[in-house]
Amino acid sequence: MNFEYDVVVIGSGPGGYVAAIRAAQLGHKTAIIEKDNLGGVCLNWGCIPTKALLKSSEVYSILKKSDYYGISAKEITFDFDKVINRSRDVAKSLSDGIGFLLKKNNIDHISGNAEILDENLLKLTNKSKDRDISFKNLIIATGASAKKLPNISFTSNIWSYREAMTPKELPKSLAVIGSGAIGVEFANFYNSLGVDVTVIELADKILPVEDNEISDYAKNEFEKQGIKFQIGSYVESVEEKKDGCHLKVVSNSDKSVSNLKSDKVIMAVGITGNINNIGLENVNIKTENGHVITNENMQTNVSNIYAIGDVAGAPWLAHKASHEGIIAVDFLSGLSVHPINNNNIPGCVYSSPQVASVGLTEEKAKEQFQSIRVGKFPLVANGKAKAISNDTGFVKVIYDKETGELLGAHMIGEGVTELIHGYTIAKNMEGTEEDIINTIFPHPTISESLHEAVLSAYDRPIHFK
Amino acid sequence: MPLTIYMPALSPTMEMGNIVKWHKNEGDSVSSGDVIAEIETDKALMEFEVADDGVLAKILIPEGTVDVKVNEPIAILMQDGESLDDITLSDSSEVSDFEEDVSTSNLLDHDIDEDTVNIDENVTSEEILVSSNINPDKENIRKFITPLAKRIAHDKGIDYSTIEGTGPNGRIVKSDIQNYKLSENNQITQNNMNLIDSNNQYIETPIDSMREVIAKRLQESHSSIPSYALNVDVSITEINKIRKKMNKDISDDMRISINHLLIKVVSLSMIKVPEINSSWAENKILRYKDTDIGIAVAIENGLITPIIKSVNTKGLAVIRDELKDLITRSHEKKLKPSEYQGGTISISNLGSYGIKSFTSIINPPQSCILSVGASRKIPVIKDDAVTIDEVMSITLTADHRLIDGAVGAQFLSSIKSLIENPNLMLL
Repeated sequence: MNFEYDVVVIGSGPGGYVAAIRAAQLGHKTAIIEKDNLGGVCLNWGCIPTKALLKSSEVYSILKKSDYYGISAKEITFDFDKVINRSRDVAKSLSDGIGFLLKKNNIDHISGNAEILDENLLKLTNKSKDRDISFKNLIIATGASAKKLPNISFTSNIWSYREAMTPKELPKSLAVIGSGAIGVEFANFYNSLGVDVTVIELADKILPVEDNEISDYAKNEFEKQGIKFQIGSYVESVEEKKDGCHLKVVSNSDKSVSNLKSDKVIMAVGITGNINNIGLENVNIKTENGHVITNENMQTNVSNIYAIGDVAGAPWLAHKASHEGIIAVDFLSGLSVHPINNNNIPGCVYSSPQVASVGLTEEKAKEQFQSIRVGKFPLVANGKAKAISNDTGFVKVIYDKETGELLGAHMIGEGVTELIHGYTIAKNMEGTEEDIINTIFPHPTISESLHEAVLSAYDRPIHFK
Repeated sequence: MPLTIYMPALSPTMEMGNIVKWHKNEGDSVSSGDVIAEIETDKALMEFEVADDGVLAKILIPEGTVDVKVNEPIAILMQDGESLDDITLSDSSEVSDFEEDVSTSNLLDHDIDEDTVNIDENVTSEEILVSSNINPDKENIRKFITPLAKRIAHDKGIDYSTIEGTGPNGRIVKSDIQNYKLSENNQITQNNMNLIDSNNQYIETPIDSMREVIAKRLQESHSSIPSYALNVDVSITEINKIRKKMNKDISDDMRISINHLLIKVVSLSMIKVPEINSSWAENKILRYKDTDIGIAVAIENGLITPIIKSVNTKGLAVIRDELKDLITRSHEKKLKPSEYQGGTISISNLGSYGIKSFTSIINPPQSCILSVGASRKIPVIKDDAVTIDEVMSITLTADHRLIDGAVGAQFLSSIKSLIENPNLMLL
């Protein structure tokens, strides 16, 4: 039976485009269907542009205290439009880069909307001509969209991440609902530029998925920077008035109500998979709680149709999507696949200070393991951190006392997002504490704190007591 | 390129086997996983599966051939488009597809640290170190395994050489060890379930690594060593007199006990009967110069046999001090592997429990074990009159491959005479 393509991928985010490139590498005739810009949310409206924005705010923050380093800089200002435009330029250039990669790999880039008709056929609709495309295998990588709260909709004043990164002008005050990575990064960004920021969080701590000590420390640091928090609270309603947004904030504990007024609101309360309008019902593909159900090889209940990335569920991380893309393609090509261990997927928050972690929190580790070893190393004891006068933060590791298995690593501080991979490599290779202890880390670097934290877990730190 | 099929090592200790039957003929097509031959080793009759697809082009070793060495070429497999003319028999030493050494240095390299070593991690290593020291030419099958999985396997005393890894390139990962343990446990539990009386209440106790090693070693010893026991009652009246004199005005912890004297006596007897001071090494016997003697020490939930080395060069005071230190550290689980590995004889004393006499299981690769019972007063005939003597029963359990009955008897007799006539120790 002849199909037009061996592999068709719907969606060109970090899941989709990586899957397509891998499929082409393995010799499949591949097409990728994208209704918007190449690169998906990550490149255009997520990971990439936010990091560009955060870099601008970082530069601004450093310049403001340049005198401390002996550098004089007067009248430090910023051009908000320029800050935003730079992030758009970065997004565009990367998106173009994806186009170049697809071409180089002989992947057909098809613009338009896809709707699945049956297990080997989909309907493409676009501006020019609708047509049917037949495929041997299909990979659904349609990503996810921002969730909204029951009584609150997105408007020109109540932003999702998309509006938050392309505002027309800098608001004077901002209420951020949700303190996950997205909420915290925006809060940090806007606060650095002088905006009055309040963050409202439902859970009893910010960054709910992180280790408790990290959450506490981070909240402390952000408060020092002037960000206000209302935790253990939810927003019942937002009224848009002439003088701004009026939020009704209710406390979980005593149901007391407080009023908060702010120019704009960012709603960052989670995302839900894009499972509508793609024809899933035509092939009876099973979904649950807003995402497509898959097995460990990323197959849906239809054996030649796969789903990867945000549309396939948590964790909603670009690197997880990319790996799933590779697993799906390797599997359909008959190669052996080693399934993803969710405990080995790192999570990062690019605020200042940064947060990076992998594996179990101390709380979860205590629940699941009989006895654990915890090692902590504060960056104030690290030479490089002191030398660059940025010694906020710490590194914490958790080991299974019985086997020496690295159960979790949690870091907060300068550049930790670039360092967490050290622990993920060790974890993925099932290294024990010995493997890290016997590794020589360069001096002076912040990375030495990774070594010291492990030494500390085994009661033998050198640079800390 | 045609593939040469080599005689496989179907177990880590296999050196050669017999080709009992070929299940395929020359010219037959075979697929990966097909059984192509039946191979007999000293332990079992096993089916040999071919790993690749192809045609069995040539059978090099006919069925019925015995003692075919591991890694000798036994057949040629041809793949698509090849002909017999392509064949040049490759050197049997060129073995493809073998991975990491199961050899001991790897098993031990994570934990040898000369100061204090946790016994639980190392009790397995004793067995493996000893047996592989004796077989230096043995071919090892290499297996890839992650550091964590290796350590867990080690701690649990699991031989991972037969486990199929599910990690990259067949690497064994933690979950493979965990699943293996689970399936092993399930097997044994299944078998025992039928025998357990469900009306009787019981508590399940997990098996820790020391118990597991004790179980494994002693089972192997008991089932593979042809042992026999010789028993004799030894009068300890004279030696007790000497001890009393020695220990007069000596503090409790500096006293010389019957055990110390026994250790010295055993050593002297081993010099007299040198066959005792030897160990069995599969196809040779190793005879030692110095006498290394192990003493069985009961510790919490288990047993360990620390060794006093070169007893022949040591006096009673040194023996006393060393034994005290070894026993203390045995209880603290702080013995170095070299302190409980080796030796050619062990002494086990259950006298303090009132046991009259008993036999013990030999600690391989030692040649024998001496079991000492409680002292007791019995009526004896001396000069045709009944008198009372204090005796203790000692039993020698010996490995008949090394120690024939007469030799064992000589040894025991020497011990008896030295204890009964302590002055002879000076000679």
